[in-house]
Amino acid sequence: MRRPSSVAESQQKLRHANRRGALFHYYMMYLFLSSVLLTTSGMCIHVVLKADSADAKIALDLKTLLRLEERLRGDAVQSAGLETREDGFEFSHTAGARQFRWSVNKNALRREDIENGDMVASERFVFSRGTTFEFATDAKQFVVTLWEPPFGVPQVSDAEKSPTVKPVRMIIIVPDSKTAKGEK
Amino acid sequence: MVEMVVCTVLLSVVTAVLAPGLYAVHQQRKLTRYDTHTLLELNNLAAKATQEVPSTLELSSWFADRYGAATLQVENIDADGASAGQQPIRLTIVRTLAEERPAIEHSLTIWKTVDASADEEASE
Repeated sequence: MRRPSSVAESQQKLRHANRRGALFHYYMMYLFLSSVLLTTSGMCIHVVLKADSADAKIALDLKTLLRLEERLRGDAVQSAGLETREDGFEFSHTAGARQFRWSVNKNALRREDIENGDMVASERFVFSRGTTFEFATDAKQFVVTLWEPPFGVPQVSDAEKSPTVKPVRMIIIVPDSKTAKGEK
Repeated sequence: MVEMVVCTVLLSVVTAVLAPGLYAVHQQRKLTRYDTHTLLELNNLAAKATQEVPSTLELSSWFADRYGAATLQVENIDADGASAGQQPIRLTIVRTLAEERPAIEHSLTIWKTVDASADEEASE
């Protein structure tokens, strides 16, 4: 059995070393850089889509808030009385046979237009998950408070509001001829 | 490695365009929210003006906590042709963001009768 010469052996090793892509750590470095670039690209796309989604959600919330305010003030103007209940409140129309019943269901307010005992129209005002509502009455004012959750963090319970939760209040004036009954 | 360099350059350009764009969108969102809350607060003040003397009106606590730099101005307007017994009053909420930027103003004009009941006409 003949042993290969040392010169031939070293030349063979050199050929192996000069062959491109042959070294494992070069390959791993190439793979690592590629993955970093792809991950960064994916994160950019994710941030753009997330920002668009958040912007659309906030715009919808603000639009709903304005719609709610307009409807509440409109109902207060044409109502003859206000009564608060455990799950909401009710305006009685000046005509007597018509009521505007408002009820709370988690993060949504529902308004029902009831005439002679029959519901003729209903409308919902849906806010972000975690939004809570409070109603308070005194002699002439009816105050509706919306507690907005911190962005992306719904509240677990009403009693444990984080200091970062900020309220939005609407003050509805109940005119002299109307009486506000009940308090939530 | 050439592909790596090209990709890195492209990604840097995209990031350099994206970051200011996202910041601008965020700022616009904050301004839109402020506009909505200001409209709400002006309507609240107009409602309170039917029961209180307009010169004693103040910003609500929820609004002042959110926007500490906002101030309320109440001024009587001399209007030509104003009906007898009614006084137009302008409620203005002013917010100064930075010294080099102009202040943001939102106004609501209400008509208050002399006998302490108010009719309201909004103009901004």
